[in-house]
Amino acid sequence: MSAVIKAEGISKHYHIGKVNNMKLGMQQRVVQGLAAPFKRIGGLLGGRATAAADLDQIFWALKDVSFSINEGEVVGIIGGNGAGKSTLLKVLSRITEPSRGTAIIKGRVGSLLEVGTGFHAELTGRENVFLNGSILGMSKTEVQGKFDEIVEFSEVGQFIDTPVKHYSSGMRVRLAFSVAAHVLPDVLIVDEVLSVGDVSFRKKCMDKMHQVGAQGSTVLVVSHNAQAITNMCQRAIWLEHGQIKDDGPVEKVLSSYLSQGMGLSGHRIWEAHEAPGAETARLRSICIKNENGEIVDNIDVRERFCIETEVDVLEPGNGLVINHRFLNSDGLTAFSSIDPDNPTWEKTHWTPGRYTLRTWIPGNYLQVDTYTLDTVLWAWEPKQRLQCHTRDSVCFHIRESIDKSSARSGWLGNLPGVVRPRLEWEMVHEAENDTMQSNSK
Amino acid sequence: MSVTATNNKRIVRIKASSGWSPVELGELWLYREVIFFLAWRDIKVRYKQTIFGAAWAIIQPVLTMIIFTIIFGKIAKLPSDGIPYPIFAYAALVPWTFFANSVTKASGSLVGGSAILKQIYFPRLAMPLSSVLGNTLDFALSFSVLLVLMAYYNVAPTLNIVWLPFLLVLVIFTSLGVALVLAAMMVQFRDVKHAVPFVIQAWMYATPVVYPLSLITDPFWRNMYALNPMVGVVEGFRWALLGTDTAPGPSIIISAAVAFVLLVTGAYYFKRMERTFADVV
Repeated sequence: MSAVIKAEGISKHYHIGKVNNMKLGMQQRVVQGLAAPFKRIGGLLGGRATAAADLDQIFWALKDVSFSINEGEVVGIIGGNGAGKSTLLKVLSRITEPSRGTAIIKGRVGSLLEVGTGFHAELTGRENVFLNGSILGMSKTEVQGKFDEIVEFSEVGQFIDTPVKHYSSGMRVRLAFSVAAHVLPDVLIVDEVLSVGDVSFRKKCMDKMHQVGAQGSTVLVVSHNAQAITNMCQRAIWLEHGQIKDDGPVEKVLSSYLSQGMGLSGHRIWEAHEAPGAETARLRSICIKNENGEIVDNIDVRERFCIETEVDVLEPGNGLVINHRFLNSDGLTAFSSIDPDNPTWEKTHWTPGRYTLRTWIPGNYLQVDTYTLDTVLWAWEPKQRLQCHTRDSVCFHIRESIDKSSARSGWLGNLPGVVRPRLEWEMVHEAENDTMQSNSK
Repeated sequence: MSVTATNNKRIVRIKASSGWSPVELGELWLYREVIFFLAWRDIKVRYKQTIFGAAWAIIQPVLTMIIFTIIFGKIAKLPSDGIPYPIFAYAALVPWTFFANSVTKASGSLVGGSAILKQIYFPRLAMPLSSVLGNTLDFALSFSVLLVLMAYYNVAPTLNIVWLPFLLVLVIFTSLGVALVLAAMMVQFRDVKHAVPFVIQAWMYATPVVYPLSLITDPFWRNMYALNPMVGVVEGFRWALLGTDTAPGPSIIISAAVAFVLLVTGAYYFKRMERTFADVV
């Protein structure tokens, strides 16, 4: 195994905006205004595009990024918006030059950075396959050899001789991906393009990338879809503010990204001036506590735990509703819960003051995953009104246990599902013959 | 950036380039199929959804020739070295149209292809280069009309016709040299787009398209005039095909030298600006 991509100290800066010259006097400004075109032309002739454009402020999109990727690795790049993911892919696919640092890539690079890469709307699908194939580094004979395979994979078959301008965006992506994946590049670089196709094609693409990786190609993929990254990649690189924050096995990097990446923990306190809410009630804190009353981020899948919510009531009234919504890492709502579940809720008259509410979640109930909480406060009286809707208020992880007391009961295989209840199983031995029955309740 | 081939696997070294560097001809050769595909695409797309199709390659210079004949030949009565004015003008319009269209298309090729520029790597030079190459088909078509006209006016080509390929190279060099600078500039400043048509028009009047070079009698000024490489091209065409007695002599050498310098400077400038294309286009 040798390094196929070796990046050392890759940095990339952009010149943005220009220095504010509000403080200059009228005369200086006139002089500058007159001199500017000449300065620009000077910069242009000198080959300094940025000087020519009068852009003085520097933004570092990538700062000292180093890593090495081996043959056949499928690596996911994760990070928030503006973290430098796409810039990194652009540097590696030679679209833009780094400002500093070097990268060495062995072999042919196939990159698919945007929808319909290099497609010309007026040309037919067939013509575009040849054009695109040649840009990606295939010879005409190579494309001819793989043409049928490419068309079959893309599922645009009958439209292959129609100009691409009549294609749907999904068809374009399918054809573009199909070409890029069949180039058999030594390195395949794919940006967030697969969010366009339908679910079944996305699945097909992921399988293809996996397959490309298995054939010894190296795959680099950017995606916001945590699930997709986990399915495809063994390794993940987490970028933040243009720097590598973490690099390692995909589960480890992804779980720390999902919690810290959002700046969330299992505990959140709001000061009085920033507390979300309106005139009737305000949210003051939310935390995750285990049965011993300790604040935690990580909960054993078997453990019972609670969401402790502190609310300030500012004016007297009835019917304050607190709603917690639990979202898993795919953004799917696992379930939601409201405080009217409390039997005393209807009789409660809220007088101003601080209230603490505990929502107990049983052990062996949620699937192993990372969850975030959306919290809504709603008041019926004195005025019917939404008080606040706080997204991603806290975050916690349900951790695996292979202990016999979890729903796994010692089973080590995959146990899929949004929830992970440990259910009661009953078995009755009815008779001495071969009939066996099991009932689940 | 550099590309080397070892064990059939290319090793690409990506790093910041600095200063002025020459165009990597080796890499351009590796991507030759891309250049031809892009040129082929240009040709294919150019006359899509038109009624007359490729006939436009002929209609354009022929109509211009008719207008010039009426205005400059009949009304202004400009001299034409003893050759019928229509063919005199047309012989110049064939290389001139090639030059004008090449410069216009190639200078806009980077901005026009910005989507592809931002998505995928190949030597950027392939874009203006393929635009110029794509124009050679139009050139061939309009040139064939020139042969028809010559037959009609009973003008036999002279032996000097062997110089035609050289003149063709000269006009390609000139077009490319000018287009490389303009294309690279246009990425940064769209002003260029507005300036190009005007520059081309002015350049045409600065070139003996509608009038003969023989109007300038002083040899010194004639040589100075040849600093415009299109002077050598246009007069060379008339001399090689129609047998005008303006044998280019030293002026063609001057024009060729200028064209060569233009191409080399253009290539260096293009290469220098290339690294920022994807960021600023």
